[in-house]
Amino acid sequence: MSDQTMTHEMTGSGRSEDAATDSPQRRQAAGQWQLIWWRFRKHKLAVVGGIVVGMIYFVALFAEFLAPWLPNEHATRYTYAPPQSVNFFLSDGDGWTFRPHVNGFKVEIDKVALRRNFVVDEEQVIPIGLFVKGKPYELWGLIPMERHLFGPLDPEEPMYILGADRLGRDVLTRIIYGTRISMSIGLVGVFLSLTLGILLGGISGYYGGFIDDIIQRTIEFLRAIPTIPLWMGLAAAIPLTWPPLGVYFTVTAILSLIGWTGLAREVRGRFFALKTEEFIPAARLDGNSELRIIVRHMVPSFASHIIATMTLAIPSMILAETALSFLGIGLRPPVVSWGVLLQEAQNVRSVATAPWLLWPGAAVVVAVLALNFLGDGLRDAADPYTS
Amino acid sequence: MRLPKHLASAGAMTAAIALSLGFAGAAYAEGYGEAPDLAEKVAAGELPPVEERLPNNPLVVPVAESIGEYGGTWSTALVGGNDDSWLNRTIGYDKLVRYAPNKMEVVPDMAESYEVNDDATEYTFHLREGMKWSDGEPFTAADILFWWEDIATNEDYQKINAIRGMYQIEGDAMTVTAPDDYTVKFTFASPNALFLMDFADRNGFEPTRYPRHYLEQFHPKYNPDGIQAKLDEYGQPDWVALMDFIVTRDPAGTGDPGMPVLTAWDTTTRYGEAQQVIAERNPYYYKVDPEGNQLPYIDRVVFDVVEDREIVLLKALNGEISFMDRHIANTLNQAVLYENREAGDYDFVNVVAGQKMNEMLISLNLNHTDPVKREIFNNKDFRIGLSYAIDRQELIDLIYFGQGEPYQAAPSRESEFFDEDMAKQYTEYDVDKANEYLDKAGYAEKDDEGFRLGPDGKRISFVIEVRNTELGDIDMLELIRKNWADVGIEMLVRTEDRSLLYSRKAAGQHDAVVWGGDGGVNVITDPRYYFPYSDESNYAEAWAAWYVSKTGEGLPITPEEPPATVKKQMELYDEIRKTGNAEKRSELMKEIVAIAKDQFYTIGTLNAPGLYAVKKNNFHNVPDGALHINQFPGHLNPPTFFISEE
Amino acid sequence: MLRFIGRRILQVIPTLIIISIVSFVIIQLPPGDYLDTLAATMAEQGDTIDRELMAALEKRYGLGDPVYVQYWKWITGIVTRGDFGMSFEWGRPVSQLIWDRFWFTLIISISTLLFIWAVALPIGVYSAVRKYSIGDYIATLFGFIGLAIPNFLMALVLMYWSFKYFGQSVGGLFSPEYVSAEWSWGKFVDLLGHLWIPVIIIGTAGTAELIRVMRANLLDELSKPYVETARSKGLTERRLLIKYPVRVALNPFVSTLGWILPAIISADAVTSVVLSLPTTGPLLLRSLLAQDMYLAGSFIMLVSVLTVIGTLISDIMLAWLDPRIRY
Repeated sequence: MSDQTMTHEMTGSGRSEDAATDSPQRRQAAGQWQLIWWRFRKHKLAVVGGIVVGMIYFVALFAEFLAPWLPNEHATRYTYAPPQSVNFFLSDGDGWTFRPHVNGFKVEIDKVALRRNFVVDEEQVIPIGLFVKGKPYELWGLIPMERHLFGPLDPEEPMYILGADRLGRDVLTRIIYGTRISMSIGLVGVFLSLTLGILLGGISGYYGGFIDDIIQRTIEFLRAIPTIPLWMGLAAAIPLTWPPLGVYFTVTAILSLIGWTGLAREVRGRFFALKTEEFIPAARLDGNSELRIIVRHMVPSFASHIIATMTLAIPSMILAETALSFLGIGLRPPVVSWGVLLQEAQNVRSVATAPWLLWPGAAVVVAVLALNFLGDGLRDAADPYTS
Repeated sequence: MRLPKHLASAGAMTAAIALSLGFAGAAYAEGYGEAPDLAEKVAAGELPPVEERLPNNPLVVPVAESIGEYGGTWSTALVGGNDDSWLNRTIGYDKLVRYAPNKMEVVPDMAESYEVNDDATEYTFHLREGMKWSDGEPFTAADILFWWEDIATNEDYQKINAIRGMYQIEGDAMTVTAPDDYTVKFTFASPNALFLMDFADRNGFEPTRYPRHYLEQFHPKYNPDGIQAKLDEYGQPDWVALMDFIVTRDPAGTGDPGMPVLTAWDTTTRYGEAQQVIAERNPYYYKVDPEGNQLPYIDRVVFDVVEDREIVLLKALNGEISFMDRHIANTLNQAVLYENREAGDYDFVNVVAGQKMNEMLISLNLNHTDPVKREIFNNKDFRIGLSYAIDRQELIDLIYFGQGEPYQAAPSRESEFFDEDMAKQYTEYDVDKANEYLDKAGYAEKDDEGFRLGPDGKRISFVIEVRNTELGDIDMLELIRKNWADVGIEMLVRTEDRSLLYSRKAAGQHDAVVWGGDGGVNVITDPRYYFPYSDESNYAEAWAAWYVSKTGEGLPITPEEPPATVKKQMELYDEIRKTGNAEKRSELMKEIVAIAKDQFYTIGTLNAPGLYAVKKNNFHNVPDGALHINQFPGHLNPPTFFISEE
Repeated sequence: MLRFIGRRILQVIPTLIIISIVSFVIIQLPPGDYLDTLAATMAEQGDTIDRELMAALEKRYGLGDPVYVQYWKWITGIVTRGDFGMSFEWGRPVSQLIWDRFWFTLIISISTLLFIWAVALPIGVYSAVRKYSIGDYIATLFGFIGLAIPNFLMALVLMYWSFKYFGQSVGGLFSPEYVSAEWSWGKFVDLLGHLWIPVIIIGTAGTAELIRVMRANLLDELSKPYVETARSKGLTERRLLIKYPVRVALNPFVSTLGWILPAIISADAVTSVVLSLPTTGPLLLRSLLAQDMYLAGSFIMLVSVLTVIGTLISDIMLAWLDPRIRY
């Protein structure tokens, strides 16, 4: 966690000199975003990353509809059920017909090993389809619905495409619901730290001198204080009856409290460089207030950098959330996030006997990679050098 | 007393007779066997012969399967820095008296025999003549006197380390006298009937942990001039700290590597200093097997100190753990451990849950500071209603794969206090009955969302706190939450760090907590769930505090006088403490348990399936189906465990 | 320049004092204290700890004292005698505990650092020179994958595999038979057999950032006029690269000293716990979770001092590289 925040600063400091060469581009400010788009398109991996990120946020938005089941719906018969494979064609003796289905299980309990043994039952065909009627839910907690994108035609039949966990809950459904929490925790956290970072980094870089010293020492200090006991203390201070959502926002706030310092140092570096550009004194001579200069003139001049930095900060928030969950001080069930899911899977018995519980890890990898490439592409595009 | 030489030739025959009579000891004379490496040392003149190392009357220990072979290493593991208890359970359970392997019965151990007078004020222990510390110095009553007079009751020492509760009765410390070199007498001012049971438990290790000849150098009374040099050498601020550092006062400390011990293996490294704790065979150990071979069979015990229990599990899967249950052998790991049996060349040993009588007890805080919640929780009909509303069979099917039975907080089947009625009352899943009782409790009114209203007209809603490490408990509570919502009761689950939970409940700040149920066979020594007895009685911390100390000094909670029925239980228990006669004590305890049944303090869930331990296939003499108590596996005679070549 | 350095060094002192106070307070922020943790741990294992022993421990550790008294005892011990106090959990002086684990920590940190550089520099250079090529994408993907996999998960899976498919003894840095053995060739080989897992896990998490920095710096350099000039003079691409741009691009790495210093001690605590490494990371984590006050406090002090010194060094370096930042 700390490594990531530390390295933000590193990139920032290493490239603070870029800003000086920024001016030729700025003269054509009208076409700036257009230029960025042109440059961004060249980075194929970034484009793919962007599409994937878009898809992930789409999943987060429509989680209830996309998931075949409800996230906390347990099934006694199917604890640790292995993933079923989806077959599209069914052999009916004299040929194949198109009929998407999964096969059911024969289940028996092994009393010595204390587990359920599953054998795929080829005879038992569970037809699945699109827009099926399933368990009722409320989209965004508002619109009551009962159609799911896909699922078994008979909602009483089992369908575990990515397997089931120890309570017979569908892993795929839980990953889909987890997307919402994990991806938004990144957004909200980054937004908070961005606000703090720009404001304080900006002030620090703009004024310099004494104020800069104070802010810089505060940053050093904040980075030195241990976050684990801080979080434990706060976790204890949260009233018992708070809904999980309250706890969720507290986690986010804590994460961003840790996260803003790196950004602030980067912003500060850019301000130092920008301050010497001719348009700042000009604005000051026009009688603009200091805050106005920062917000209206300086921030827009590197907005593209900020967007790139933000994109790169989201994955570290996602990873931080999983790390906090690992330590048992992050989000907690019944909230479903990728971190919570991974915490439930981070033990030898899952790796050995139910490796499908590690699928949420794949979700994290895809999201983090996609966001990183998107961020890199944005940064390349925002940077002054062109090939 | 040594036997004359001319009898030695008849040794083997005499041994057989002695055995068949269940009476052994001196008759072996020179027929004693010993480990090959010790025999070599004897031959080289580095050690005296085995019959001189053993006491005149060694303790003969029966073996669970067969006479063992010497050699081998018992590999096991410790997690983190305060896992002392596993050290104590494995290599530390040798003391004056101990618990017998499969029943809660106190038997002599280091003491050859013991007597208790009728009114339980005088306990006499007869030591073994010729018994020696691991450095060959004799162990006598003087060592025990040294512990009591120069350590435990020493003024400086007491300032830091108060005398343990078991050595006091109503605030008065016992007196220790030694009529002769091999007799020690503990005398109490008034009857202390539970002393022997406490003393046989792990905490009664102190009297035999202080080798006088070695420790005098660290005591200002015996080494007034040299003590400063010792303090400097060990970097300790005062002699009390130094003494504790050398002996290690923790219930299971390993002591300084140089300090002689009486136990089967002596540690050569200090716990915390390296990544292993290694204990080597004590050549002067006082126990022999039925054929007269000196124990222990196993050369050394090696504890790998690791950071995470998952590592212990991997080690077990990999066959690197000889024998262990702690940290790994639980319901969750059963499938993965079972699957790897052949690859890891180990198998399961069945263990009977002795102390644990319940997987999860829900303790509503009967001493709640909020008068409304207190009124609701103290309403027995309310608790009965909640109990009926729990679908225990679903919990068993879902989390324990159908193994286990619904159970309340009640003595286990192995206990003399077992009462089927008490264990099963209100455990059937019956929504109608649940509603009936909740209505009867006076909470028939409901709000628009269908939740019942309390006496203040507000929705009844409370939080159950649970440790974040207890996956099974969290899962069970999620299901129970749904069960209770069905009968109109709102319950919220809050998972938190165990130390937070612990400090909150000790201060009585909780609505409700869950914890596993102890006191299954050890009903008399651990009655925490049968009446508010200690701060482990999670359902009534303030009443328990009143029982422990009327003033509440030093406690995190203000004591509160309990109602008459509860006080009656407390009086009965005081009576037990004063009753020398074991049968009479059982009678009294039965009364307490009967009141507990009627009071229905906590809501139980289920009694889990049998426990197990992991044992390498070449590791022997661990009895199958042993009772799991606090000393496990210490009470199973670890010195008789052995490792075969195959 | 000297004045700048002097002023920065003076500022370090109050920062450290404040850090020491605040970290001490924060460690105590979670309710309860070490004894609660101890009691809870023991109760969890079905053990009981008797009241007398608890009272004795409370007195010995001075846990009944107000926080400022505890702080004063601790800080004066450090300043006057170099005594960092005792660890409650381990019953040993803090300095000894940290020192015992220092060398292994150093071995892992340095091996990891070498690994990161060995992986990140070539990928960084390649992806700058062959920007937007298939090779660039593959190399970057490879470099970033370690960042994307949560460390604790990777640790667990690698460990399981090494047990399952290589039958290797897992956890720690040695097999059980070598842990307490004297140093020998066998022990060294055994160490290498265990070292690769932590190095890969901690290392791959760090490569992404370095690749990114290297690539960006090099792209910066490559767009400068002198490169064009050199190219027009007919230098081969390879010689051209190594001759100047790569060396210049390396410069900012000097400033990374700032974060390397503290990272050596705190390493990657989570990974180290999962792998059960005998390093300082798990000690720190455990002390924080268990509220082992003096151990945790001293650790944080140590890490803070290194952070502050590191930042100081990197600031001085930056000021030296880019004079604009100073004012």
